[in-house]
Amino acid sequence: MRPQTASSYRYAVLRYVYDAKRDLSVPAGVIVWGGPKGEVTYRTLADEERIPELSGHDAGFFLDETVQRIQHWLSEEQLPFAETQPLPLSDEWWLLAQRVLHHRVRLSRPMPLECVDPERETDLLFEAVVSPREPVRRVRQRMASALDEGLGINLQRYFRKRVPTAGYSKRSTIVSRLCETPARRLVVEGINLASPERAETETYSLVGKANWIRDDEKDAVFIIGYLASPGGLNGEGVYKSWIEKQLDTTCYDLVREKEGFRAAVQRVLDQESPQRRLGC
Amino acid sequence: MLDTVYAYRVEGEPYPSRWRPFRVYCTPDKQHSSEACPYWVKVRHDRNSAAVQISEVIGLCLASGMGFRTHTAALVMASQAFADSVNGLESYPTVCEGPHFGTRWLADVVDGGRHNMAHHMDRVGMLRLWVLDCWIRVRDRTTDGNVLFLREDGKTVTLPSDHSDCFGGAGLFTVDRLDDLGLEAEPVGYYPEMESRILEAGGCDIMEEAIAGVRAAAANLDEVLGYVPEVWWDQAQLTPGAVRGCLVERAERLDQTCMMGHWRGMRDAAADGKLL
Repeated sequence: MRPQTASSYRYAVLRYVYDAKRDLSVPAGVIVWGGPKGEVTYRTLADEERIPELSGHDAGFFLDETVQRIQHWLSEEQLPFAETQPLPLSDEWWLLAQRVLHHRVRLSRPMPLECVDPERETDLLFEAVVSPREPVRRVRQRMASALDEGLGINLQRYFRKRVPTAGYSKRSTIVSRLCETPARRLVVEGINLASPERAETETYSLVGKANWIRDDEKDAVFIIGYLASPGGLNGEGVYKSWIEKQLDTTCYDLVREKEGFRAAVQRVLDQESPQRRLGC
Repeated sequence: MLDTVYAYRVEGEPYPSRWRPFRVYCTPDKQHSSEACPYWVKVRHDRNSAAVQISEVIGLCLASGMGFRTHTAALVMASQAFADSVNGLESYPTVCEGPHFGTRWLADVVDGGRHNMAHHMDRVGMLRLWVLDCWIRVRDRTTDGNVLFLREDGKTVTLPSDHSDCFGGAGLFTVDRLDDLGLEAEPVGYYPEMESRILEAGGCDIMEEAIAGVRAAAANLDEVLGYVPEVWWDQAQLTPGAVRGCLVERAERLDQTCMMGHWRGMRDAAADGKLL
């Protein structure tokens, strides 16, 4: 493996062995480290998240213990069984840690990662690699807070959250954020493309919903914010470009393109004079 | 008696610790016609590694004798063909034909160490383990993995594990040193939060109970030493008699080793109201 630069990131996957005899495991957590400060972020399966293979297993206990153990090694700068202590967080360090973890939870080799915001992107990487099943409410909350953060406080006040708007045959549908003037509607929607299991269906659902709304006589403009795994790990670019083509709009990464997202929203709002704004 | 199982296939890389144990699927029959189960095997090939096998049997059996849940141990028989298939593989230790020490490999365990012993071990259990370690002179209990926590029905059970360094360590476990070791009365270091736990658990009384546990376990020494195959004694250049003598001496000195004078003094002072 090539030497790391000061700002480069690595990640490793925590795999849970659910069938020891056949050595079958599933990804159940990720660890991201690196960057100028050498920070380490962890994300493992949360209580509400489910992986079918782990049903009946006490996975949370073993994952927590493993993370605590790694944190202990790092804080003590003492990795067991090292003839000479490798530099903490070096590839050599993780490769030795990988050999020590041999029970329920195993560690993958360290792998390179293109990452700019480890705190946010560790979650997205987890979603891309682990893809747990989770309650719809939780998924929706995460998207809502990403949209709020993307819009920022100044723009949030122009929008109503989760409100119905008319679509085909005057039948309404709920949208995430809506700013309505007498002439047209600005709809801001979010889509989570990080999970390979859900990205495709969410794409169809978003495009279908937008077309439904467009079939109303009142004009509707769409601006889409999306969450993706770091560096487009699961090839979600194809969904993004299809949404852009279908809706004739631009999709913005809510982590990496916040400024562009806000500017696009602001541009549409600026086209409406404040006097004409209604319902915002 | 330890069960005898037959090494069939290796899985995974050797562990990076000193004796490089590795996972071996073993069957209860020589022909490997029955279902194979995973064992964690430490192999022997010279004097020190043979002493380690003896140390493992003694440590595990005496821990069991003191009431600890322990691994299921077995004599893992390596055929010449199995030994040949392992020898020459990079990073694996040398395997010779014959019996080696193995324990059933468990998936549902976490390695214990300084970072989690106080969290997972109850007060009395930690104290009993310390007294056992003072007796058989295990000085590396807080090293990662030398105690395991088995997860069972949402609870953790302590499993004393890895007894390769009883009697001060494999390199020191020799006939010449056993006499000195028998006379020595130096306690092993305290485990995390142990001093406060001794007091919380009842101080002197609980220590006395633990020492009584050692003496009860010592009554079965001949049986325990009888589990060790002849070939291990020969290769390690040790004798059951010498080991027995050392353990009996150490059991008799446990009052001194465990500083019972200090704990009895505290109990008496508390009874007289002096501590208040």
